[in-house]
Amino acid sequence: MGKKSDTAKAFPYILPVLIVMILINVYPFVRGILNAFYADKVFGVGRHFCGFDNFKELFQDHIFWLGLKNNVIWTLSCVVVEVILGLFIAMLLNLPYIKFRNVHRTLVLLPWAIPPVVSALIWRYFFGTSGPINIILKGIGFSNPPSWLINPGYSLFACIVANIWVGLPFVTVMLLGGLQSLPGDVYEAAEIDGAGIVKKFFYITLPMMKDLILTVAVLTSIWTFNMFDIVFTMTRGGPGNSSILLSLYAYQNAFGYFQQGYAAAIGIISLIILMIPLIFYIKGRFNYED
Amino acid sequence: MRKNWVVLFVLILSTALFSSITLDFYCLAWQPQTVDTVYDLVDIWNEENPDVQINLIWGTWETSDEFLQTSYRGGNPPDIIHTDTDVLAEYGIMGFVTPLNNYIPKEMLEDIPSWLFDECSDLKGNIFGVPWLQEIQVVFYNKSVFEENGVTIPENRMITWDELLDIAQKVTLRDPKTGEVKRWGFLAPTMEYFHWALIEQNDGHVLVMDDNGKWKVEIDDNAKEAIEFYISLITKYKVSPPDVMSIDYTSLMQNFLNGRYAMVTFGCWNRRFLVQSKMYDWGMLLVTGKNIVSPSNPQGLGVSNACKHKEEAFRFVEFLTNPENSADVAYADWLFPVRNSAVEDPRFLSSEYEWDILYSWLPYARNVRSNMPGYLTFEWQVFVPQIEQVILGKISVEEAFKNIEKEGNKVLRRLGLQ
Repeated sequence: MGKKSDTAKAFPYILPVLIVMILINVYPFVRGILNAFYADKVFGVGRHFCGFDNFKELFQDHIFWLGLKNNVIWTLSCVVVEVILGLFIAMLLNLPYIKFRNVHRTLVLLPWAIPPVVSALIWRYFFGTSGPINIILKGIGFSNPPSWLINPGYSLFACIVANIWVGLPFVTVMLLGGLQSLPGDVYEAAEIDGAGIVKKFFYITLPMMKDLILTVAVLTSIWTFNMFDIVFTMTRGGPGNSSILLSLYAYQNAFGYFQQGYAAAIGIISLIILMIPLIFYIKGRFNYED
Repeated sequence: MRKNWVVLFVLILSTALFSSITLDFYCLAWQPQTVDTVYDLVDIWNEENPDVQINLIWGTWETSDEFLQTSYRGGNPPDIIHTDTDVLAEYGIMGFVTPLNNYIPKEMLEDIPSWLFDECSDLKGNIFGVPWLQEIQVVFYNKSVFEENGVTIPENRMITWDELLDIAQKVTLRDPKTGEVKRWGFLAPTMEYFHWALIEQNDGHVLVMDDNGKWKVEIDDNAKEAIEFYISLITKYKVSPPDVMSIDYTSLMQNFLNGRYAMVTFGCWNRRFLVQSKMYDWGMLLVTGKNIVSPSNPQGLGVSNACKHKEEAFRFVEFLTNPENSADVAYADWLFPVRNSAVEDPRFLSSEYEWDILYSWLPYARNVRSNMPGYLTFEWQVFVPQIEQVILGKISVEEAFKNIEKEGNKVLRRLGLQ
């Protein structure tokens, strides 16, 4: 009884925050879902309810499937490389005898401090036909280095490299935090038992870091899947839609093609796909807390 | 006494706040000289019209759609907008910009070619914008490469499709051992609508409207021939690289400067880029088919429906588009003004930077993009992706034609055009 009464008392105090949350989170979310069931016949009858038509057409749209395929390649490549590389860098930074550790940590964090659009512009310059990467390649003997951003075979790869650079600091910092919280006595005991670096890594570090790695991987997957800035700035999804992602295709439909309902349908499909890692994350959190 | 002061203060404040109107002008000019010219013109206007002040909002071509659409849907659009004439027509049909029929004076109507007004009008005759500038698409060629390969060109610089292919084959340079292409003969990026120029030159049709004003995708034989020719340059004759799919303007132009492409299709404003990059041995060509068509990309100015001072806004549009000012802006932008009286400015007849050659092509200027509202949606969601599939070798050209018609009609239905 007393607890209920406290909640009732607290309600007016949290009401302003609740209203703001509903306005900026719940309303756009609900509106976005509703939009998917409307068609925007902008040059005809205007906006009208169309049921599942947007979804039906979407499943027959080859650009949607290409975007989905790219999204899977993009997310898997970025997350796998970021986690492996992030763990490696975090372990290096965690070495007790490393000098100027703070300087290294700051350097690692640097790409995180740069807005993704700026990072994308930097990488667009690097991958330019006459950019530094091709100058280096020519210098080491490649007479005809690829045009990274204008060749459909390389454009997605170039964007993945840029995104790894952007996403790596977060992963590294999170994993470094985890490594620093591991108890030192376990390692000392392992050393006494004669365990080497590899054994310590596979039998102590990895099992103890498992939950954190999973959490980081899930969060990174969600962010990477929804990432828009890098591809938009570097290739705009081209050439030949070779680097199109679902987020970018949704944007194109909403702002370029006058089809907000269609764009919202793409958003909903993305949301459903993202529910999969999210379920893993929530499940992982519960296990972790238990 | 104190009360009097307060009243006086309120009076002064309200006079300052309410005596003049401020109109937002969303401008897409971006070349340094053009930006300066527009700034100067706005300063002159603001000085001469203290009651109607103009506030410049600079936009970019790449993001203008998202800016304008969100502004319109959010209910706070700029009062005057600068964009492509066909986009003005789309915005007019969607109710974003206002018809200007009652404002446009007769002398302005007579001074601008009627096809340009058609570009920004709907079928009912509502004119949603005032044409301002036009860009002509040309083929830039590398003079040194042409000379090295003994390529001669006609005096009027017009070449047929066959001649284009012949020249492209001559100037394409392959490694004799590996066959690897060292220099491509010709590049016409899909974003430059060269394929539509070919369709127009060949009397072809892709988007057709019936008597009831309904649109349909139906590719006729002439259009098919033109599209096949465009694709064959890449897939069959291999004188053009798959780079045509790229929208990375900087890299493509860089490749032209580096000598990787001997010819490129871009707008005539690129002369500024070439001059600034200190590449002086370039010239321009016009490709012609059954029809001589000089592909034009006209820009215009429109007044938002939400603007509370439409008359004042139109006065500013009139000021910017008057012969003298439009000539100044166009010249600074390396483009042409659309007013007949402005084009007669001697600067556009100069042989420097081949203005005179471009001028001689002006009578053939035509927007090769369809005047169907939603054309750009059809182009980028259906047409170009299908062409790209053929270029990538994933489907045949016949399959692409079928898909364009099938998918295209679906998109047209979604837009309410059927």
